[in-house]
Amino acid sequence: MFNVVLLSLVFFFNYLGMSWLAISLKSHWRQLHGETELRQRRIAIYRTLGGLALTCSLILCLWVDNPSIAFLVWIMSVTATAKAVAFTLSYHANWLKFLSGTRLPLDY
Amino acid sequence: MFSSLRQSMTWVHTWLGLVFGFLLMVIFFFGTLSVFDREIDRWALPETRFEPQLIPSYEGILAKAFQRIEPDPEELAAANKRTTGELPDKLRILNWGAYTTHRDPTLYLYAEFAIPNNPSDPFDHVHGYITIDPRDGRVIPKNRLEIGSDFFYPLHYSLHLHWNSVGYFIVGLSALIMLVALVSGVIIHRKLFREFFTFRPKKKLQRKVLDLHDLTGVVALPFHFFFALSGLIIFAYIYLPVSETVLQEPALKHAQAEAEAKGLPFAPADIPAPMGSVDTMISQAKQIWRERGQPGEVGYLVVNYPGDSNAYVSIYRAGNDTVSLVGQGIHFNAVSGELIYQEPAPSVVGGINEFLTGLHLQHFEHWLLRWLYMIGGLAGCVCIATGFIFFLEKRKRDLESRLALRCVDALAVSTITGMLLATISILVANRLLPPELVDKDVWEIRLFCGAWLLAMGHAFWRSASMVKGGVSSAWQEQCWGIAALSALAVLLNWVTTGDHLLKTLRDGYWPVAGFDLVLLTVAFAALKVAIVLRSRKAGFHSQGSSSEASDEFPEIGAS
Repeated sequence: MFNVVLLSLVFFFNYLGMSWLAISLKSHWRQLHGETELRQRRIAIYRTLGGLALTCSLILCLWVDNPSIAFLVWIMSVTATAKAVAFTLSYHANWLKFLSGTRLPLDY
Repeated sequence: MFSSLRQSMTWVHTWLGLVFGFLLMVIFFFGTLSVFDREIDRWALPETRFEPQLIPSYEGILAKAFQRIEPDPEELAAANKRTTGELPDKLRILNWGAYTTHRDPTLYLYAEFAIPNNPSDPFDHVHGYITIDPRDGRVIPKNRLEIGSDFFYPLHYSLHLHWNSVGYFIVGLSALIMLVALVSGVIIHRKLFREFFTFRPKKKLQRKVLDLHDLTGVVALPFHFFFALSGLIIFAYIYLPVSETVLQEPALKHAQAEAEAKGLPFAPADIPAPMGSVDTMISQAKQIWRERGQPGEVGYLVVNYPGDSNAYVSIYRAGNDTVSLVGQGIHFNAVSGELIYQEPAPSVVGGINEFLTGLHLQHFEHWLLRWLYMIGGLAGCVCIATGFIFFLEKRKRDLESRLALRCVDALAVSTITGMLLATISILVANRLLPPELVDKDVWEIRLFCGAWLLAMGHAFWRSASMVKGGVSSAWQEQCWGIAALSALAVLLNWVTTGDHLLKTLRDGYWPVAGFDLVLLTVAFAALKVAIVLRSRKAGFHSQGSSSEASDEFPEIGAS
């Protein structure tokens, strides 16, 4: 049961990570925030957060399974969540708005 | 010929993709189904609907079951043509083997029989196979087709074309072309990273289909790449049989030297000797695994030269918790029961080979990963199908090639909805044909092929609207067929076995419950697509064939 929770967290972190990576792309930023400028600093922050979230999911995979299987679970779950993020952006882009943290003073 | 690399790669991607896309669709689809081949077997063989079993006692069950294996008649007939004299009535047994995984209630056994008098191959042999119920050794009748592991799975890697292994070569060439298509696709994709997450469902059909093609191709690129590559590696020995042709002599010497170094006999001594207790050897092997900190069960058991004084037993740990199919072998003298040799960990190259093979064949125990593979496989099918639709959409206003496009459209219908119809037809046939029917398995395969041919004929017949710039009616009509047959298959499973969905769900018998749920999902999806296509077709007729808006494939889910 504990492993089920950990594997659910793998998907959660992957989804977060891929969402942040998507928001760091100008086309998707515009989907969420119109013509508001996406500054380089924000891009760097989103990509760092995305990378960290994906690293967390990899660590969780390694916790649950032996390295060879963990690697496959990680890469396949990243693939599946990337598709989920793409479809979220297509049909419910505003669901991801809160991840962009526009109220945070990141643009100085 | 082309002014840029991108242009030349576009040509390569388009035309190789079109020519081999139909084959790749078949390979991908049946590969995807093979992820759950054992579960499909359970659905198709109600008498095997019991829990997965461990390898049974050798002395209690296996020894007698192995004795029942006879050489395969087709292989024997072919071997007769290779030999100089008549084959003896009783062929010498070279080895017996039993292989199982954590998903197998039944046990697959094989034997290799030596073929004497072949001047060109002193090691010539034929095989024999049976599947047994490991609880009592009862043989599963040969007329029961294991639709998942014995039909869909070989269709994936050999297309069931066995003459000179031509099917393997066609599949191998297709895998190679797929690698080319992946690389050329990456080169021609103008905005690989910028449009990594892009799917625009509200755009025109041509645009959104291309988005979906790119999304399913790029996001699942590692999956597609490694599966095509590992598929090629698994059958490299067939594509490049150097150890049986130009390097036959050094390969033989190497095998002899390797056996000698391990202390394993390379050939029978032709001196009869009684076998020791294989069950004791299995217990010893399990003890060794426990001491290594890897407790486990037997996945693969081989008895070499049974009944000979040179006999030895090889025992491999089941690879449930690893990507590799099985662990390293432990070999015992079959007569004395002494431990001869324990295989060390594989070399780097050997380890990579085991990893890639295991990655592709997925015998590990990880249901989440199995479902993720299913999603990856379906993404590949969507990628190929959207490639066809994009090809047609881009060219459908080209009046000069309308006839050729009609053919492409009909072939696309045949390999997408037609293939689905054939697949569900074999399941319906499986439930309708009586179990006692002689050659029931052959009849099931005939009905599968017949349904597919009918679907293809229907696709060509109904593709006339394609010539007028519309959508072939075959898409819609075959979707109705898929919906009806899928629902019928679930109903027939209930009627003929009593295992209705509520019962299997309540009992937690997921192989059958899961497959019934998948069939119902397919029925629902096909119904929805058919309804959308019908409403679009109605719009097309009411606005006239010149209408721009109704000229397109519908947006799925738009109704």
